[in-house]
Amino acid sequence: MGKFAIKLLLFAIIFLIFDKLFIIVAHFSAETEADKRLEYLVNGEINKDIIIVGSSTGSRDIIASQIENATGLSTYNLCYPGSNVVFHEFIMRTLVKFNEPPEIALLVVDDNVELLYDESIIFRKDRLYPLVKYKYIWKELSEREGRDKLFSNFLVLNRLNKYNFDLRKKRFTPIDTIQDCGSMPISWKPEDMDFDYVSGERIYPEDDELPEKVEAFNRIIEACNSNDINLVVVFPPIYQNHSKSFENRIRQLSSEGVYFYLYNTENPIYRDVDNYFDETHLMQDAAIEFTDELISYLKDLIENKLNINN
Amino acid sequence: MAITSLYFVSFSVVSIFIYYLLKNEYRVSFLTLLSCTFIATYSYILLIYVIAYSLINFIIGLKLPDQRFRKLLFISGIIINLTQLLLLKYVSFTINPIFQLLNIDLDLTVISKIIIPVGVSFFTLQGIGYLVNVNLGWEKPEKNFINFLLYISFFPRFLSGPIDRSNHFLPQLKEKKSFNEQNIAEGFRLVLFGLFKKVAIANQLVPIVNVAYANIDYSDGYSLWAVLLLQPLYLYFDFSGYTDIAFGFARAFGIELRPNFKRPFMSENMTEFWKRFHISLSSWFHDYVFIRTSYRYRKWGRKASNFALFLTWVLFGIWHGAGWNFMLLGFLQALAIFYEFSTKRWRVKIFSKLPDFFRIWVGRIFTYLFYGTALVFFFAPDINSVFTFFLKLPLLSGDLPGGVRDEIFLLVMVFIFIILAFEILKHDFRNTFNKIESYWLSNNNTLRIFRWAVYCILITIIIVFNSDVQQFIYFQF
Repeated sequence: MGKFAIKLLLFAIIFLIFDKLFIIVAHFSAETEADKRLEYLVNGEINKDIIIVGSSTGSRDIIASQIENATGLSTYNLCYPGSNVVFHEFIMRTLVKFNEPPEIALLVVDDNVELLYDESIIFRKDRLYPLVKYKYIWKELSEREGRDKLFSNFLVLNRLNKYNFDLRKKRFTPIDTIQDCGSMPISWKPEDMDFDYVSGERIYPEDDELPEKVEAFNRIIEACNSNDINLVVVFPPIYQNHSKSFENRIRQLSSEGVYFYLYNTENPIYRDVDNYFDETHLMQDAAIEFTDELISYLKDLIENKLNINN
Repeated sequence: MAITSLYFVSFSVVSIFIYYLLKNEYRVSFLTLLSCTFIATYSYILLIYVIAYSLINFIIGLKLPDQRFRKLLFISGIIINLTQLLLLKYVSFTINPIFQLLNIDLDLTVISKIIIPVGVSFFTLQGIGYLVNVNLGWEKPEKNFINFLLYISFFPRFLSGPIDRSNHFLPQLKEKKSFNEQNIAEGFRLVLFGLFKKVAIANQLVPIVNVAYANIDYSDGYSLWAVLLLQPLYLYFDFSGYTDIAFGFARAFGIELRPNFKRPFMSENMTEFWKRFHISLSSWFHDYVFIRTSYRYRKWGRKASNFALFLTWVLFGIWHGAGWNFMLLGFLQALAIFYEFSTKRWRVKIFSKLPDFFRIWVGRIFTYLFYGTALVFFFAPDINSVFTFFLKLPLLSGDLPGGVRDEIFLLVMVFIFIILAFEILKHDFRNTFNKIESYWLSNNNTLRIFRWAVYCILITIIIVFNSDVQQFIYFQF
């Protein structure tokens, strides 16, 4: 038995040495990424006055550089298409951990589905995997993947995912081209895109809310409160009637000191199908118009309620 | 504790060494303790339940040879076993609808929520099998409760089988076991291979199958055809992967489990398929339901066999779950076997004139396609989804299924091709396979280095692919 145990131990040692070779993969996989925003965040390079957090609606509909030019406050968009509020909470947590807290955080909520199950918005683990060379990131991933933390400490492989092995240089696609300010407005539209305006009152199914998402939403508010960040919850336009019951629920969940911005529901441009890429995302020109409206609100907020020096 | 986790693998490997360091008389107790610890990681209440379940069957088994109460005890034992299975697995399909009809405001699903009946479908069949064996005098009652508890709870096979037989398992516990390096190395190889099948193949196919069934109203013909063709592979690699892990660890502990898979895709018809796929379950139903029913109604002649055949397979279907789709899954298998049996004479006459290679492969392909079609009943969440699936199949349009990146899908297909190629080799070219196997396992130093390199690569793939952990399909039963 002793001989067999020694053989097994020898194999384990060889495997541990073999495992250490994959540090190279972990290192290079960050280099291949086109979207570097999360890496900037972990490296403490996002020290801005205004930060935008949300999913694709935030990344398409709000142009950070436009806000920066109009308000004189440095602005950056940290919205990730396809991400949910749990991911937004992770972004906020990472932001305040490694960077100077911003003066204002704009949390762009997804009308009706923000706190509900929706398979199109998820925790974007795929954004984290390329950055497993950072201990903070692989610890977060270990928790989310249910991986054994103990093994992740000494096995490099236990921090990697199959996609880390795709070491081809990633490039922006037409729909995911990120501007320097982090925003991703869309200026083209596929010809076969066809959708109708959904009118009528929309009921928000509060009973279907996911506790994990409600908790994440509350934690974002807490993080803002404890870091003196002025949180503005933004309800962006969609090609449907705005859900008043959803808005009320978000207001109900939010503590005092949280500000709300609802798009101008009377503005006819939000009823024009040509201004939409699809039911929930504006085309670039409409995004500029929406950002202008948001800027007016922010200017008013900064001048009358907040004590922020440009 | 997930069986594919590094914790489980480390727990088992360390346990194997401790097991052989112990004196022979303490080993069964140690294995029982390990099994109880494993069950407790799921739920303490489940552990208490399994101990109580084992104790009841143990006591009934002990008392069965007493001629005065034999029949009563045996029937009570079977009723107890079936009732607990009904309460834990089939309440929503059987008892709750009756309560609703009678306007009784009682939801018995609460029992399964408290107990968390992991593995119940498997250990119940083992319990029933033991009572039948003792009742028929096929084996003597087990006198040691620790041995019997281990028979029910042995951790490598507790979650999803293979379903063991008491007269196969219990005698092994009485044998003296010495450390056998070859057996343990073989066991570890099987575990490694099983993990690879589960993690690197089955888990990667999950999104394709799950997405199609979850969005069946939006799925197109092409994607459903792809699912139909892929789902037998998915199920096979998932379940046989689990079986290999169970087999491997059991072998390292010096215990041989009953075989569960024997190259099922080499089957030329469904009768043969069920002698090669999930063998421990199909043979259990064959021995304890089909044979017993045919014997009981033997006066009916041929009709007794037909009745037994359909009863066996419908029960086989229901064992998989409470729902009409599972019942139909079993019924379809019975229908296929009935057809094959009834037409065997003329089929042999016609097809024996065809070249062997052609006949064999046409048979294999048709068997695969039939099984793939039948699996729609297995994977679909309800009977309506089954109909939707088949209504959409002829609409040849849309895209192939998404959910998995092209390069990963291609890699998985390469893995599948290699494994199936070895299965064909083992089945159709036995001598060549044996030569390769003995060469692979030879004590040549260069080969040993090559072997270790392959193991390192396999472990690497397993660890890296083991994110987004998926549960075994048969875990739900």
